[in-house]
Amino acid sequence: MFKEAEIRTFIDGTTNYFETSAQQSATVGSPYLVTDGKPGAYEYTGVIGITGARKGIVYFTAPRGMLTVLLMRMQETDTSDENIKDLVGEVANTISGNARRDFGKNFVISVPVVIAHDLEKITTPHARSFVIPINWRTHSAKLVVCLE
Amino acid sequence: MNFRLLGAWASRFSAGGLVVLVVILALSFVAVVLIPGLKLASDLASSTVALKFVGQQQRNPALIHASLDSMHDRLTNRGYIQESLDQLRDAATKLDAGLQDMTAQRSSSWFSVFADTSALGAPIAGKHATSLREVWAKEQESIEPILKFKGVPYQDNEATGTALNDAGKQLERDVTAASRASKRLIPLIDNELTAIVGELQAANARSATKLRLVMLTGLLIAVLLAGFVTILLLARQRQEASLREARQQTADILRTVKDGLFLLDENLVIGASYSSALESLFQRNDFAGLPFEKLLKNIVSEKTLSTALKFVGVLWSERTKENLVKTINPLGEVEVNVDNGRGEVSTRYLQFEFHRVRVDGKITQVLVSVSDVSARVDLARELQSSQTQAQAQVDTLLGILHVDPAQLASFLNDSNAAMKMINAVLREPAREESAFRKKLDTLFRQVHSVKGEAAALGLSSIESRAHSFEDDLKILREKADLSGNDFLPLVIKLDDLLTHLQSVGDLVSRLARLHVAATRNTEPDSHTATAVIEGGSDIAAKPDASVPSMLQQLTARVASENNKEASLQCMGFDTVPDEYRRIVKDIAVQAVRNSIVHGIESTADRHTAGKPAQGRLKLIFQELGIAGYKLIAEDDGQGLSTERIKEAALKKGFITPERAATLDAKQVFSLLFQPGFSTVEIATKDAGRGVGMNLMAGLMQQIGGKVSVATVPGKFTRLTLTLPPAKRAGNTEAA
Repeated sequence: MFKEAEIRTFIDGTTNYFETSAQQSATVGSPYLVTDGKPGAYEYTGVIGITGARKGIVYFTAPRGMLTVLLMRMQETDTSDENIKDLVGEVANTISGNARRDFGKNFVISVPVVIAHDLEKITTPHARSFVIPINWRTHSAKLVVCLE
Repeated sequence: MNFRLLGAWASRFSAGGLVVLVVILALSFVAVVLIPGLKLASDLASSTVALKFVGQQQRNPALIHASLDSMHDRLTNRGYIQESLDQLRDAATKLDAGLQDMTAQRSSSWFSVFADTSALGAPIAGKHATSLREVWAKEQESIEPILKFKGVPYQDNEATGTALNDAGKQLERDVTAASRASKRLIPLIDNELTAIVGELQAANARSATKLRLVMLTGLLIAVLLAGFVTILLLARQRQEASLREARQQTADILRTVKDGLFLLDENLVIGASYSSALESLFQRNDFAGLPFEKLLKNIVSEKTLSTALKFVGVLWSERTKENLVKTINPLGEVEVNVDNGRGEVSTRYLQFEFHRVRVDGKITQVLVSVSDVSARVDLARELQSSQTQAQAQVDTLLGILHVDPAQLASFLNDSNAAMKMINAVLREPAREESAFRKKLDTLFRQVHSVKGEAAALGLSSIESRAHSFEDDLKILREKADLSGNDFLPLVIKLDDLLTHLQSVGDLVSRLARLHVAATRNTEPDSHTATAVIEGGSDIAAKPDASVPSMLQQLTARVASENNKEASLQCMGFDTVPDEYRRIVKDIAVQAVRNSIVHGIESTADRHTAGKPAQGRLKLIFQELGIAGYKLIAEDDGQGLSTERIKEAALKKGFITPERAATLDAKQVFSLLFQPGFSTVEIATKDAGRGVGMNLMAGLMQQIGGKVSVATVPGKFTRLTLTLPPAKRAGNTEAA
């Protein structure tokens, strides 16, 4: 199924990031649906917009704690807000790169946008989203895929 | 001067014609005015110089005459003559030199124009040269002896005083002779010189007149020239103004037009002028000089790009027909994606059109117009999708039309609850394999109940989806190492199921509204099942009288699918309390399917066994007062065979052969309720997953009920389910 391959690409993009930057793989929790248009977010979110074969958004959202540990794991001592934002942006970028590689011209992907703290700003274009929990060490993050 | 008239007149000439006219006028000005003017001026200058010179010479003959007279007087009075002699010599020398100058042949040169010593009226003096020379020669001859005189002409004598000596006497004679000759000759010279002056003055006057004439002509030509230059300038100004206006209009058009317009030259490079809309269409502004290929790169695929370039190339060929070429335009609908930098990418569809631009019948450029046809494309897509949707709706509609609306509403209600349950189970955090595995059983039970009821209602579209969901679950159940990734296909199917249920739901409510409206019109007081459905989800609270008929349909369908004959008798279903409505329905559905698939024999076997061809099923719901309720499901089929159950259990690895040997009948029957247990080899929609009985057991466990099995091989199977008294909503924990 095409949709499955798409979502898998986004998941792989996310787990790959942990694998390569933290040398510690992340696991995937069981995915579920959110039907009320509010998939929710943690403090830091990296969003990419998608159009072409499918339209919508994909975002990676994680709590500060997880990102701080991730930064430390990457030998980065500066755990400022800016640095954490950069990190989330980088995850989103990796997801987008992965998708570009897999889907080519069928998908047009925007430059990642990072939203921190301001959770109200994150709105999904459609009511139904796929939410994939991303577990890394003791932390949990989410990958939200909302495509038409 | 009336410039407007002039302008109109000038406009008859082409700008080039006017320029030629102006050049001709300028040249004629040079030829008619400047050259003759210059010549005349130089003539005038030279004759003026000559006049002055001749004027100077005119004094000398008089001086000679006066000197001779003076000498004659002094000689007579015995005066001092040297002074007069010197004066005579000086005047004679000057006159001689002057006449020499005047009568000598000279070459005239333009370069000598400014030298006032040359061209001393030579042509005019020349005429008088011979007579002047002759007269002067005679005069010279007469004064020659005087000029040669040296010494003193007197001698002093005591007696006579001062007297002329011999030389003096000779001198006196010479002077007298010269004086006489002068009287005759000098006026001749004077006359000649006066004639020369007169002629020179006449020539001067002629030159001046000519010069005036030339100047007048010059003035006229200059005026004409100025006029034409003015006209030329005016014409040019008008031309520039209209050009400016045209440019402004072109600029206005290019700025305002909504389409992107540009020209391509033979090398497929974009020209310098293009419409502003192009910038917003392509989100760039470096169009001038941009190769067409670069514009399209990253917008269209490599293949489309090369086709497009070939296509535009073909447009330059005279042999191909433009209209024909247009039909193969590969850029009729190009998708362009623009990132707005806020995490959104918008898609637009652009239509490229190509038109040949001809100058004097030759193709010089190709005009490209790009228009945003997103609205049209979106509309077409929307139309197509709504058509597909409508088609799907018709299919769904046909699938649900035969179902009793109340049953359908009840089913949708239950199914949505099941979907929510499935999603909730999926959502439960899980990291360990065991946590993931734990989810499977609940998922199985939920989807199975949906499938069962869908099958009972003959909703094949939902049944097949649920079946496919079960397929995936089965794969997961058999998978050794479960992780969250494995659940992805399930979620996608859940999404699909939800979408489908939603569309069925929408359709049902639309139908209900339609039905209600129709009912109101025809039977205002009627309260049939359709009125019930109007309440939507409230339906769950109403007594479910339609379950038996649904079960009847299920019986008929499953029997026919399994090539068997069966009839169902339902009793007491109108007394099922709301709390057990769904459980009883799920169990009844499961029981009917189990009985037909596993219990009832084929018609032939029944005949052999001496049974009626039609198998009999019974479903009885009983109220037991404080003891709760009882649901009995009975069939007159082949009964349960402990051996067959054991065999299947061994085959599927549920028990070891050793364990099989020690199992009693009750333990064997309990195997039936194990998840995944089935005696059927190949799963069908109706049986084989080993979910049904497990679902039943699960449900009973959930409410704290009991299941007992009674069977006589070859005779019957009876399942008795005991349900505790119904709990009131809200005090579940207390009960």
